[in-house]
Formats: sequence, C-alpha cells, structure tokens
Amino acid sequence: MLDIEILKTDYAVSYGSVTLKSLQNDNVPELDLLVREGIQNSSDASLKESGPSYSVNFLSGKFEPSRFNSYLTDLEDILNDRYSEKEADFLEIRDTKTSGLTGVTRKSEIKKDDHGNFFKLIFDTGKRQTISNAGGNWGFGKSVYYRVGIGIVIFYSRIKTSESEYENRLIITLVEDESKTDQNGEDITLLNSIQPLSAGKAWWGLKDGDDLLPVSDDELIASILDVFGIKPFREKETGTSIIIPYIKTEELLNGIIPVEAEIEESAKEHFMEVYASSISSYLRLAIQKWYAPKIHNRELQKFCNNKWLLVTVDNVPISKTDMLPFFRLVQELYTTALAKTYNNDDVKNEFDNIVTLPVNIRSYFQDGQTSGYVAMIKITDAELRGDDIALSPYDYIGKFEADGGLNEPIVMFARDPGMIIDYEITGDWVKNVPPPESTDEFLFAFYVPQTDKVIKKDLGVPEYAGETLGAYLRECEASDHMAWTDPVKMQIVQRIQKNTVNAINNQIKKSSIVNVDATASKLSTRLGKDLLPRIGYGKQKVSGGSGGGGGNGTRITNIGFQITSQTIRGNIVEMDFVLKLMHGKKQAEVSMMIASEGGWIDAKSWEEDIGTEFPVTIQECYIDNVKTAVSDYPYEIKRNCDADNLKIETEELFITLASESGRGILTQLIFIPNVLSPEIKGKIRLRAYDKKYQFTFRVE
Amino acid sequence: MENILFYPTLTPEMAEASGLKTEKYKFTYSYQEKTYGLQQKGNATIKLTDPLEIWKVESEGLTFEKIIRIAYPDLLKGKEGIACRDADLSICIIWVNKKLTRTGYILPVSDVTTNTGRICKFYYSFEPGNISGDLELSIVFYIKKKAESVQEGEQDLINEDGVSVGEIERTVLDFSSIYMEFPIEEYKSENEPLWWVEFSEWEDPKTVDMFSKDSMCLYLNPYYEGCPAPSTNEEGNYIKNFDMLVDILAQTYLMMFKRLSEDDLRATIQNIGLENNSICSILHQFIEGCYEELHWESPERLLKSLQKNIRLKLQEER
Repeated sequence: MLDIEILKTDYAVSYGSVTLKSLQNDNVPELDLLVREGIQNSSDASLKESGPSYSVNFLSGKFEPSRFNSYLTDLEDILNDRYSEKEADFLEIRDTKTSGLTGVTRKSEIKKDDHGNFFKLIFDTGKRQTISNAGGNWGFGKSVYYRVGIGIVIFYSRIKTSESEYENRLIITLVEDESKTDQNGEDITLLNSIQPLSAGKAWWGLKDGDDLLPVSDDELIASILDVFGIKPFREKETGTSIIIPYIKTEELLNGIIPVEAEIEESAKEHFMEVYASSISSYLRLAIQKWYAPKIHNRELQKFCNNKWLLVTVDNVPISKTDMLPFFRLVQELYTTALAKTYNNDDVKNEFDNIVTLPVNIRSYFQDGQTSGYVAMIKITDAELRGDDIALSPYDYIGKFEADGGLNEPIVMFARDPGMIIDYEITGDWVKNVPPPESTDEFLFAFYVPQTDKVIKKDLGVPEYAGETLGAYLRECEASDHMAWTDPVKMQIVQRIQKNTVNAINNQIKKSSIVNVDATASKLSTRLGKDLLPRIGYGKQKVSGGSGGGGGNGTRITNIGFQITSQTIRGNIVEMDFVLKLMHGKKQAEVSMMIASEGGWIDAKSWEEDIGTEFPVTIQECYIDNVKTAVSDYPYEIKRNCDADNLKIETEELFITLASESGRGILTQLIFIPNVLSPEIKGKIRLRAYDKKYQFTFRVE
Repeated sequence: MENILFYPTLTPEMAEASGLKTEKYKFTYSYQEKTYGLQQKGNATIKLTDPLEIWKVESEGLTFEKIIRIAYPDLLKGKEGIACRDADLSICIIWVNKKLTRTGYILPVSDVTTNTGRICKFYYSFEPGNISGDLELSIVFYIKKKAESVQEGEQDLINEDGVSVGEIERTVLDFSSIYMEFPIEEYKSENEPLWWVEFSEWEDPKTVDMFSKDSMCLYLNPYYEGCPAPSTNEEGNYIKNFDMLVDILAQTYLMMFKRLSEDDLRATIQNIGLENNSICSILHQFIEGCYEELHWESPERLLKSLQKNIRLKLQEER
C-alpha cells in the first residue's frame, strides 16, 4: 500500500476544479489536447538529450480495476464500489530518449527559479517552462491528463542520476472537481468522503516526514505496472510513462465530431469508421494532425539540430508512408520553410510547386527584416489525394464546416518544437486570401519563424529588448498554445500575419492567370467595350431646379405623418404620431393598408377581393394637442375616439373614425382641422385579428 | 411609410447581442465544366465582374455561397427575442429578379448548431436564363415551425409557421452592363467560311434600325484554327488570332458604311437626326472615337484607315 496525501482547503490552495478547467478548449477534442500535451512534454524532455530523434508511444489497453485500486490507500473501497467491472480502459503515453522526470523531490530542496521537471509535473500548476526553445510554456496543459479519465494519473519515470546510475520514480496523482455533484445534487467526488476538507487533489507515494516521495522501489513499481501489462524502463533507458486508468473511451470518441457538426453523412460515416472507431485509430490521426512536421522527418538533421519524432500507437509506428498525403504535404511545407530559415534550399520534395517566400517586417530586428518564411502550394485534389478515396483535408483537421464549395485557404504556423499551433481558415492569418477559383483546388501555406532573429534594443520596450523572436513568440502563445497574440506594446505577430497574407496574395496574383480559351461568341462583350459607346450614351441629364412651367413641376408635399414610437402588447400596437398639414391642406385621411403578394391593399379592396374581414382595426385614437404656425403653445385636446364614440369635435379640429369597407371594421381616420397648418400629436391603438400581416398607413 | 408589425422583429441590438455575422457572398460561375470566381464591388449593391471577361449572367448563370453564423442563437428566442423558445427559427434567402418578375426562396444546404454557435450555409446556382438584369437577395429569419406551447412572457411574439421575423441583410446585384455588345454569333461548320456578315433589310438606319442582332450580325466559325476568340495565358487576357479579327472587323465596318445611302452616310458623319442606338448613331460614335481620320475618298483607303483605327481601339487600355 502507498501513503496518501490529500490537499486540504486552505488559503491560496490550487483547487482541483481550477486545474481541470484550465486549458479546456471547446473547439478541440480532448484527445487532440492529449496528443499535443503528451508529445510536447516529450519533445521538451528530449532537448537536453543527445541523438537525432525521440520516441513517444501511445498504448491503449484494458486493466483489472480491483488490482489497481488495491494500491490506492483509503480509496480502494470507494473505487471498487464504483468500478466493479472486471475490465476498464487505460491509456499510456511513454517517451524514451528523453530526460524523464528529473529534479528534486523534497520541498526543502526546491529552487525558486526552477522547480525541476518532477515537481512541476506532479505538484505545480501554471509553472512556466524555463527552457527557451521548449514547446510548453504555461504549465496548464497537463490538466488534460486528468480530464480524459476519472482524474487518476500514474507518473512513472526513469532518470539518469550520475554517469552510471539510474533511478525509477513512480507517483500516483488524483485531481478532481472538489465540489462535483450528480444531477440530484449528491456529492460524487472520490476524496470528500475520506477528507471532507479536500481541495480536489491527492497523491500516493511514500511519506517521509513532510514530504511525499515517489516510489523508487523497482519491485513495487514493476508490480504496479504489471496491472497494466506495462514493462518498466530497462537499464540505460530514460523517459517518462504517463498512465491514465479509467479512460472515458466512449465520451472521448463521441466528442471528436460535434453532434451537429456540418459534415456530410457519407464523410461522417467514413470518418467514424476509419478514424473514430477506437482511441488508437483517432490517436493515429491526431498525432499526424499536430505533429506532421516532425514524424519521421529525417530531413531536419540535414540542416539543423531539431529532432525528428518516432511515434508509435500500440507499438505500431506511424511511418512516413503511413501518413495521409495531406499531412505529408504539411510536413514538406514545414521543412521547406524551416530550411529556408537556415538558408537551405535543398529539401527533398514529394510535392512539386511549393513556393517559399520571405515574410519581412520592418523596424523590429537588429539585422535584416525577414521574420521567417512562408511555404505555400496550390494543389489540385487529384495531385493531393491521387486515387485515394480519402476525406477532405478540412475533415482531417476538424474544420468540418469548411468541407464543400470553394476551398478556404489554410495557413499553418509553428515554432521550433514543430507542433502546429493551429490550422487557420479564418482570421488574421488568412484574411483577404482568396480561395482558389476551382472547387478542385486547395491553397495551403505554412509560416515558420526565423527564431534566432534578435529584437532591437532601442524599441522602447525593455522587456523584449535583445530577446530572440523564438522566445518572444513563445511568450505570445496563449496557455493552450493555439495562437500567437502580441502583448499590447508590440505588433510583431500582427505584422507577420499581415505580411504572410501579402506574400501569399502577391504570389497568387503572379500565378493566377489561367489559360482559358473562350468561344468566339464571347468576343461580343470585349468588342462592345472597345468599339461601341456605353449604354445610355447621348442621354440628356435630367435638369434640376424649378425653372420652366411645365406640367411635371415639383410636387409640393403638403402632408406629413410620422410615427414616433411603437409598443407591442399581444395583438395590440400602440403608437405615438405627429400629423402635419401644410400649404393650405384642409383635410387628411389616414387609412390602414395591408401587405399582400400583389402589393399594398386597403380595407375596401381586401374585403372585396379576399372576401374576409380586414385583419386589423383602429381601436382608438387619442389626440393630445394641436400646434399651429401662429400659436406659441399647443392647444390641449386630450380627447379620444373609438368604436363607441366615433368622433372628436373641438374648436381646433374634427376627427372621424371610419370604416372604409362600410362593414364596421374601423380602418380610417379623417382629420379636418379648423386651424391653419396644424401639427397634431396623439396616439393610435391598433388591434390585429391576425398578427402575421404587415401593415402600413396610407396618408392623403 | 413605415411598416407596422404586431410582433417584434430582429433589431440591430439583437443581431449584435446574438453574435450574428454574415460572411461575404462568394460568386462563381461554370464555364466549360470549370468553376471561376467573380470579383465583386460594392456592399448593398454589388456589381460583379469577371477577370476573364467570359461571364454573363444570362449565358453562364450564377452560383453563390453564403455563410451566416450566430454565436448565441438562443438569445433570439424567448420573450426578449423574435421567436418563442420552443419554435424552430430558421434562415432563408428570398430572391427577386425584377426584370423577369421572378421570385423564390433558398433554403440553407446545411444548418447546424455546434458548441461554437449556429452556422447556416447557403449554396445555390441560378441556371443560365433564369435571371437577368438584377437580383435582390434578402436574408431573413422566419418561423420554420411554430412552438407547440407559448411560454410565459412570449405572448407578444409571432408564433405562426412561415412568418418572416426580420431581415438580416439585403443585397442587390446589378448585372446590367455599362457596355453594349457587338452582335456576334458563333457558327461551327466545316461547310461555312471562317466568317461572314448578315444584314437585315434596313428601313431607316438613322432612326428605326437599331445596332443589334436584328439588323446585323457577324458570324465567326470556330471550325477553323484561325478563328478569333478571347483567351488568357500567363501574360493576361488576349485575343487569339488578333490580326485576323482586326481584318474581319474592318471589313464588317466597311460593309456597313457601304450599305448606307449617301445622305445617310452624311447624316452619320455629321450626326444629323440620329436616334440613340440606331445603326447610324453607333457608327457616328465609332467615327468620333477614331484615332486617325477615316478616309472616305475610296473603299480601299477607307478599309486601310478602318484597319488602323480598329487595331488601335482594340489595343487601347480600358
């Protein structure tokens, strides 16, 4: 049995719920995040090791829960109770040729500036990477390990402690939402029943005073690993194995294609059958999706020290030939652009027509303007896929909505570690890049920065002075590593994006002239333009002004009707209005009209033509006041008319509420003022018998 | 006059709050089984141009693609929205072609709601001949299926199938060209010559006979390799067999001038009593736009001067 340490609620404690929520990304499946995190950790751990490559294996399998639970002191019964099945799923991510979880294990030995790999991965949250060309940065990524299962993760590592000595380390961690309840509000945490003050985190190892140390006894480690049928690291092998028991297989697979994703049924079926039928099959796709630049990329060693990645799933390697053609192309674009940053043009090509263009930005670097290179290709569907009846690239990268119609350009970008930050089909990386004109063509581009470029010291931003572009971009990565975003004072990323787009567009312009032979009859437009006058030539412009005394003189507006506010309440609309009569106009009629297919129709025509009752009536008209051109103050009227009282009669004006059709539905107001040029303010209340129609007033 | 509705419709505030975004229309056409993009200018009224100068809506039709995204579609429902919570609120495009007095509606090819919101995608092709002159596209929300039950506070909302509850965007496409078309027909036959011209009986080319296919037509026979046609290559747009075309056009114009009576020719040159778009009026415009004076003294000198001018006009940068 192992010793347990449960983190208790206290001041400034890092709660399990917070860790779990960090770096959740609703747009990216959890398995993708797991691949990104798993390989990135391995890549970082390979940096200090020698050799041209590093290896990562993803292994999925089954284990016997009761055997494993027996190691988890205090939790065994609870787990046995909840997971009584004979088998459950687990996933192991194992890297070798990497340094492993090195660093101190006791709190008293911790250095403030670097907690070491072991402490950071097991106990810290949000502790940043210290190696400048590392992929990881924020230390939140590991939260995905706790989300894909029930929160229990076994970290096992073998490290080199001296020239000839090695050490094994194993520790079990649990991170859960400390206040998790079921639908009925019942507590469903694992730890609260053991420790009511649980902060949602626990560790199993060996207690030694204040410290909880990892297990280092080879025999005990071997017996724990044996539960999963996993072998310990051998002799001089170093590396890390992350074992996640109780993987939520079904939930993870169902989360790959969002329930209502925009994907054709046949493509969806194909995708589900080939790539989402098991964890392993999807991992093979997700690994290519994010690490295409590195998989078996032996070209890298020809011009730089970047390592290539040997990745296996269930011990079956993903070889270069196993990669989907689209991802082989992605790798080639990356390699071509990266080679150019090392001043190397000699990259072995499977795909023709890759063009590499510099992306220059002014005023930021100590030497030169080139921030990096973008490699781009315009390729037809047939060239990309050959006879392979594969899916569209958009489906592989999870941008299901882009599949179909004209193909949106895809721009990718990556730093040294070679993990694709993202595939952009919208946003600043592709803004204004037009899609190829044919639905059979694709446009792909990959931007790779010249990471050793040094930022000028006299920019007035001391925090970045003298920093390399690589380090700057790493700081620009959000915690989920899915984007680069400039800090407020800087615009390097923005300029890179803009000029990447410019470089691509200039290249498109150069090569966009397609050979089209139109038919002879298509000459008519061209010759019309060159030989004939424009349509409407010789027409006199209609002269303005009020000269001349012809019959078509300017029409004088002598009536104005304006609705100033409207409120809807059920079938009633109430509106404030202003009616103005000008230029000696003596009477105004305001009548309801209704929109029909043939245009606006009044009550009389409606009842004659349609034969049914006009669907709206004027229920009430209230006159507040009347203003005239000669009076300083408005005359207060404050009278109303309705079905019971059809008239308003005052000294200033006379109003009648009338039925145009003569059948009783009141649809018209007749205003006869006794004052000159009145401005009448009031309210009209309309009632609809059928609200779906659109109405208006005819004012004459 | 303002329209009055008895139910709330989409307001700019609602559109903003719900994260309603429309992507730009993408217009394409098919020619010889390939798809080509059209360039667009303008916002509310769009003018489409074809960099290849092939497309005419009447002969190639028009295909468009449009995507509408709503980040928070639920905000459009309920008492503060435009439809009842249980109603099915959908989007369609209503099109109107005023010139041909035709109208119709277009439903989305896909309409999905994911955790990032709702995406409606439209993809539609107007076949050649189905529209002409203009096209109005109005994107509207409508009640696809009314709610079975109207919840508390939703009494003011319309709850009837098919009723439009607000316009998202209105776009007018103006297809009318600012240029006239030269009357040309294609006639592919091994039994016919490379080119010929047919004239109708002209009544009065100054006023009655318009410069159109009813009065004259130039026939080109693509059976021959030497047949002129527009084309593009790496250098840009050009006319295949350009020299031949210059020659054909010069002779066509010569024939037209020769068909005019002496009085009509004088009226044409001097612009006396010419109706707009009449044959003589168009010929007058042609004469006026010549770089070098036309030589009327003899047919051979006229042909030579026509050759020179037509070459220059076709080479002119427009």
